[in-house]
Amino acid sequence: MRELGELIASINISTYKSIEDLRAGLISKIENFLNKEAYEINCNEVDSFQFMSCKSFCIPLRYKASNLKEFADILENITVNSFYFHIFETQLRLGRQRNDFSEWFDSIGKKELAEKVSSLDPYTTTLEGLRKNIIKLAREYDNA
Amino acid sequence: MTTLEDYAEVVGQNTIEELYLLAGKLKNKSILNINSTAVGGGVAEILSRMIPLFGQLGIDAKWDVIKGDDRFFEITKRMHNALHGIETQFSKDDYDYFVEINEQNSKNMNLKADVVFIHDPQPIVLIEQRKKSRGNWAWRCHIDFTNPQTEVMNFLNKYISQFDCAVFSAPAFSRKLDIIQFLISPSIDPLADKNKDLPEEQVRQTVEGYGLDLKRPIVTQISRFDYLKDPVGVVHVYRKVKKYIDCQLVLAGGGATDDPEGMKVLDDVKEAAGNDPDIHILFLPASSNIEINALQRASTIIMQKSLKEGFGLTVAEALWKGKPVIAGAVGGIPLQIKHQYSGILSYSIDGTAYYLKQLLNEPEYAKELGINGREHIKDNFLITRHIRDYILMFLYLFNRKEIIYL
Repeated sequence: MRELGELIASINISTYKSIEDLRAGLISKIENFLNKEAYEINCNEVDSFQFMSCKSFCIPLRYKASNLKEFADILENITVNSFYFHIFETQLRLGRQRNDFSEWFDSIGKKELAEKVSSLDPYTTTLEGLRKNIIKLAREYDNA
Repeated sequence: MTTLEDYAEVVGQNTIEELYLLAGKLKNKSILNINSTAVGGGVAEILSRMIPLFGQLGIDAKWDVIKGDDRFFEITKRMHNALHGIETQFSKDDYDYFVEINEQNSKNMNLKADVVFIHDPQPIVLIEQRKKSRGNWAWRCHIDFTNPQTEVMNFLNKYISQFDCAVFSAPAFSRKLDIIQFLISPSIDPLADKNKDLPEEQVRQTVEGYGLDLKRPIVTQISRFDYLKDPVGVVHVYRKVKKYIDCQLVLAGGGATDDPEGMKVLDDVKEAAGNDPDIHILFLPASSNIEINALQRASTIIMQKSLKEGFGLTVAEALWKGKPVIAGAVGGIPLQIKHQYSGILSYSIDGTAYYLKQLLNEPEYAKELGINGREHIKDNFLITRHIRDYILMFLYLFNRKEIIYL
């Protein structure tokens, strides 16, 4: 099943526009694999996949950015949970085209910055690594 | 007194601010925690640290303990073992007595709170009083529920199903229940006496006071004396390794007031140890937090060779101190250790002995495991994360939706 594990791990979730699209994509990959390999594996009880659901909590923070400098300063200080929300939740759960940060950069006329942040792959880096990259880009465009 | 601000140095100021922000949404809400022991064991330890911190966050959190006699705790201990999958017999009298003691307790307790938070099975029958309490009721299960004995599970289900929600420590522990289940891992407190930094001199003095030689490797298991922690198995592991490496073994721990089996296990361990002067069996009082901290810090390798485990917080304690850990792959331990990255998971006495020899012979590799382990604990198993999860669960009980806008 290692090949299937790799296939699932390498899915670029940011190319899916909604949770339902992502679900269909996952099912399709698993079905294709099973059809191709035509075998079945039963694992031990302890190795079973445990499906879970989740509850999301949204709470406004006291921070507000009016320019790129303020944005970068705040991004350094928010928790990783807030960062996660603006990168992943809004796109998949709320069905927006891009992450919140790119949407805002676009709205204040920083289209190139919006594109660059949008093209960062959030799945091949840690959240902290991604945060650092976005702060660096925001500071560069603030000074430009 | 430790303040929430003191934790900012460990987890960052933003995490503390987030806690205040979320706790502000629970203003004027009261939370009543109930368990069966005020000292000894992980549950009492977490609650003793957490309750004051909830207070600092402005949440009215209280903690009460049910009382029971030897017979009650003998029954609850057997129940605990049965829930861990050990074949155990119960008579109708046992169940009746369990219910009776709970009912007696309920007469002397004030159960009025916005959330009544019951910990483990011992006080579970208190749920029968929920009509007298205006609040929500949550049941926190700290036990490994992977393979519970059906009869006991069916008995408990009558009560569990009356709660608003259940909380388990690991995904594998969840059962088919009629109520919503939350996954919340327990935690350690990095600023508690058991985990805070200690001066080297204090560590040295403490362990030398127990007759340990710091020039030779020290292998330690810190645990209650409980068959499920397999202390006798640890002695067998030590003997296999001792043939090749001159090391010392420490088996240190105490008892809990709700665990009457401890002294018998201690006797078995002493018998297994025989007259070996390098095996140190330390039965410590519940207040020995600094001593345990020093023993962990002085150890070369920490073992947690559990056969069953609720979560195994001693693993998190050891990893937080950057120690290489070899532990049984049971309960919540695999959540704390990724095999050969942040520690070693083992399944047998021979396997444990093999890895123990390897880590004692490869100190650089062992050190790397400890460093990775500490990072993992910092990110996932500290008390601040635990408090946040509980706050979110309480908030859910007052706002039962998929997405909750606060």
